[in-house]
Order: sequence, then C-alpha cells, then structure tokens
Amino acid sequence: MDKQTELKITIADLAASRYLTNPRFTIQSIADELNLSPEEIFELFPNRSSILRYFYESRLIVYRNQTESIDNYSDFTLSEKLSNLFLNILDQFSENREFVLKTYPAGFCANNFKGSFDDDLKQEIREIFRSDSRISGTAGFLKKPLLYSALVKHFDGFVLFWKNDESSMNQQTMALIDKWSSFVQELFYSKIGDQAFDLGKFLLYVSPLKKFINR
Amino acid sequence: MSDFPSTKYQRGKIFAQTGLQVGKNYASHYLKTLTGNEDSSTDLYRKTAEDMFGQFTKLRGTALKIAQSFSIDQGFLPEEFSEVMAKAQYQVPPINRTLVRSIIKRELGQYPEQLFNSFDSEAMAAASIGQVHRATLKGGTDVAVKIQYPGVRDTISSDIALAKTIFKQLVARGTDLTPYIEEVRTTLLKETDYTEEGKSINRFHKRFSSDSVVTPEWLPDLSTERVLTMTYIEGEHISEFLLKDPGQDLKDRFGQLLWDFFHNQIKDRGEVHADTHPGNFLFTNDGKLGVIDFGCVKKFPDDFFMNYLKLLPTHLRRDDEEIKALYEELNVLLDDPENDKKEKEVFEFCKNYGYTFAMPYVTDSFNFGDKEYKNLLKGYTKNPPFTNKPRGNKHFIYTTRVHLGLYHLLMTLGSTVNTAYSKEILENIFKNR
Repeated sequence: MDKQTELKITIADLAASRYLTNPRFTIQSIADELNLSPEEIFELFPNRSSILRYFYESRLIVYRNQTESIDNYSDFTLSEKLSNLFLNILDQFSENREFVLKTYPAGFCANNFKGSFDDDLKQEIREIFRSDSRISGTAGFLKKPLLYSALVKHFDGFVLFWKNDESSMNQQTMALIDKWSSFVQELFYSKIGDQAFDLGKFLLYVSPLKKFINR
Repeated sequence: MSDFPSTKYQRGKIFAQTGLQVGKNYASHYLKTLTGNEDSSTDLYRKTAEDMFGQFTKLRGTALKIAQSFSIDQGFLPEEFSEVMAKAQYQVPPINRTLVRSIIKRELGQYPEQLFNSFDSEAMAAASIGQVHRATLKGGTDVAVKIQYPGVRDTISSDIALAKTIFKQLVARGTDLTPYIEEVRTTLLKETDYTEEGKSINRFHKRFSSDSVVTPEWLPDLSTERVLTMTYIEGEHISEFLLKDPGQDLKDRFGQLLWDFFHNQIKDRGEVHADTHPGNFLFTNDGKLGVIDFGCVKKFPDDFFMNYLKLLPTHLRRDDEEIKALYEELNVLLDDPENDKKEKEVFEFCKNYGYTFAMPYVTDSFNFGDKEYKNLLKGYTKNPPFTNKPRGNKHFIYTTRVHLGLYHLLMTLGSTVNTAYSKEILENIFKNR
C-alpha cells in the first residue's frame, strides 16, 4: 500500500471517530490531530463527506492488502475466499463499530455514506467467482451480475445480523458467515446440475422418448 | 445378546419421521426382518452408528462431544456405537482457514501472520469443540494454538436437547437420563472455557512434569476464553508408534509410564485427566510420556471416588456381601439380587466383570498383551445385561472413561506393567482415609 493511500485511510478512520462526537467536525480539527495542514487534506479529499465515504471505500483496499499476506490464498476454496472477504470487512467494521452502527444503511435504504463500496464489493465477489476453477459447469451459468448484486445484499444482511449480534466477540456472526459460505460453495461446486443436464440430454436425443418428443 | 433392538419398530418409525438417516437403516432392517432376510445386528448397529456419527460431525459442536461421553459401560450404547463415536477425535471436518484467521484476530487483536513467526493454517488435529494449529513464536518457541469453533458455547443447550432426543430412542422406556446429561452439560460448559483449561494445564504441569512425563505450559498472553496457546510437545501417537514396530521393552516402558501416570493422579485424590483417549497421549523420542488436552479434568466427590477405588480390593477378596453393599452405594444395584431376577443377573455380571477388571492388581506384574484377557474384558463390555438402561452413579461416565481408557491403551500397546507401586498407592489411600 502506498504512503498516500495509508494517509487517506488514517484520515478516514479519524474522521469516522470524530463524526461520532461531532457530525459537523471541521477539516481543521482533523488536520490538527494528524499534524497536517488543512491544504494537505484538501489535496486528498474535496470535502468532509468525501472523507467519510472513503471510510467505506477504503475497507476493500485494506482487505486486498491483508489478503496479499495470506500464504496459498490462491488455493483457498470458494467458501474460504467468500468468508475471508466478508469477515475481513466485518473485522474492520468492528474496529469502528459505533460509526458503522450509525451510518451503514439498514435494509435496502440508499445511503450516501457508502460511496462506491457496493460496486467495489460486487467487483471483488465477481473476481472470486471468476478465478475459481472448481465451480461446476452448469453452476457457471449463474455467474451473472445479478448473482453478485444478490451477494452484496447478503452482505448487507450480515451487517444487520452483526449489528444485533450480542454474542461475545460476535461469534454468532462468524458462525453465520461460515455456514452461509459453506452452503454457497456446496451450491456452486455441486455437480447435480451437470448430472441433470446429462440426463436431460440423454432423454432428449438418445432414449426411446425421442420419438414421442418428435411426434 | 444385547436387547437393544427390542423396540426397533418404534425407534425406526420415530427416526424416519424426524428425517434422520438413522431411521432409514432401521426401516431397511425391519423390511429385511419381515422378508426373512435379516441383517446381522452388528451390521445394523455399525451402519446406524456411522450415520449418527455423520450427523454429529456435521453439527461439529457439542452434540458430538456428548456422544463421545457415553460409553458402553454406562449402558447407553452398544459397543459398535462407542467405537464409531471414538473416531470423532480424528474425523471432524476442520473449520476453514479464513475463519481461523478471523477468530485469532478477534480474540488476540492481530492476524496470525502478525502474531507468530509462522502459523500453519492447516489444523494438526480437529475435534468436537475446537481444533489445534501448530505455530512458532517470534522468539522461536514451538507452540500449539487451540481454536474454539465460533458459537459452540451458545449451542450447548440446543445440542444437549438434540442428543437427549436421540438417546431417548436408544435407551429403555422410562429411563431417566437427566443426571447423566446434566453431568455432561456441566463438564462441556467447563470445557469451552479455555482460560480454565489454561489453568488446568499449569496445575498438571506443576504436578506431573518430570523426567518421565512431559506436559505443555500455558501461554496466557496469547490465550483467551476461546483461543488457547501452549507449548508444543513433539511425539508420536500410539498408532504412529506401533507402526514402527517397536520392541517389547519400549512398549513396556510407555505402558508403565501410562500406568504410573494414572495412579499418580489418584495418589492425592486430586484432579484427574478425564479424557483417556489415544489422541491425548504422546510418546516422545527421549522416552517420555507426553500428556495433552486438559479440557476435561475431573475431581470426583470423595465418597464416590473412595467407593469406586474400593471396588478393586473388594472384588479381589471375592466377598459377595461387601461387593453387593458397594454396588448398592454406587446405585448400580437397584434392589436386592436375592429378590429380583434382573438384579441377580446384573450382580453376577458386575462380580465377574469387576474381578476381571481388578486382575492386574492381583500380582506385581501384569501382561496387558494377553489376548485371552483382552477377549475376556471385551466379552464383558460387549454383553452387559443392561445395554439400554444406564445404571450407576453419574460420575461413572468419567471414571470408566479414564480407567477403561487406560486398559484399552495398554492392551493396544501390549505392555507388561509392574503394578507393585500402584497397589502401594491404593493401600496408602485406604490407610489414610
């Protein structure tokens, strides 16, 4: 991660904690705390709300950076990659829990805090599915933008669950994501669709049923 | 012959209704019975046990642990069930590598690659409530990091309820399982607190670490209630050890260490390592016995423990009245054997099984490799007259697990052990009482 991105993330994290005590915090106050001039911050962000948006947008940058340090990540299964993505972001959310509780939209509400977060998350999910060679042939047909959008909504659901999770260290959220990702993997690795296709093809073209179909 | 399948139609029907695979096996068994093409009961038990085990391993958490806690000697399960359940220690599917990272991050504040010099993301052992990873500290010390599956503690109640439902189908109608289930529940809750286990590790290390026994040391700075870091013990499990075809001297040495470790534990009637499973003992290259996993340690009530220990000399004296009195106190005999045919059968069984069990204490040396003895003991554990009706004090669950577990280990090793020292320990216990 380059120095400028690191600084931008530091500013966004600080802004997130400032927002809790004063939603109308000033750029000057952020600059003072980081020993920077307001001009230096304005070079990176045009205004206060762009800093807050960057909080969400930068979670995926941090995720990518941390994922690079995992040995053998390319060998990970679909379940492991998906849970890595979601758990990593939730781990980061946990560090700024109060801010996320206040600003992450509930349900399907539009929210100007998230910026390009949803699109970036969707891209990341798409990449996980695209790079997985173990997905069965027929399940591969499901690899469409609608699927990725649906999984982004699943993530929103996990955030909602996490917000209400009273278990110690949010263990129930972890367990939920673990079970969910295993389920998704089972759906996409299962050869049942391939077998059904094979059977259907046989019935259609080879078996005696063909003459009935052709009538 | 076990009377386990006596109400098989009802059981099969119930299981089929609940949709468990286990029901399917019974259904096929009944069908074959009706058509005169009956499976052997052993095959049925094994198939059913395997299916049940499959369900439990999928649940991963405490339900599996509960199943493991019930041994044949409690009269809960036929031997085939116990054997399959014992596999659980090795066959539970590990949690995914991502979750392991996330648990460590949440519990210890940083990801494993930041905390450790190296961390093996593949678990070296996976069991019912957690799994163990090998790692190296920044300073170079080899450690084992035990990680608890998320939410296990919260699922204990639901898993207990599930297990109770299943076991109710397996035991005789009207049997009250509550005291046994509650005992297991309490122990399980304790097992999910890794801080408690860390303290147990330290206590056992202080008591037993010596020239002949090695136990891990707890690293509290890298541990929480759900992550336990301890020093790593290098050694072979019994199966790996036997694969190398070791000489009898070596088998006798490790057998003696196991025997002495067991008796040294009871010397001061203190805590006992209550999970005598092959996976929890290691044989090190320098001839030491490694003891690991202190999640299940027990201190038995004094009255129960004294009565339990007294069974050994009392059986050897063959004094029927004394034996009867002890079994009555331990709630194994529910009525006077003279007045009740079933109780008479149970008493005769206990007398003979108890004597067989006490045989290693007759002379100063005993050969656990003796096939005749192994078959004799197996004969008793395979055919108790109370297979589907648990009897006896609830603490038998763990004393049996420890004592019979020790015998199984020694019989697997085929060791000859010197029992003079252990008899001295027992005599001193009775003398100082």
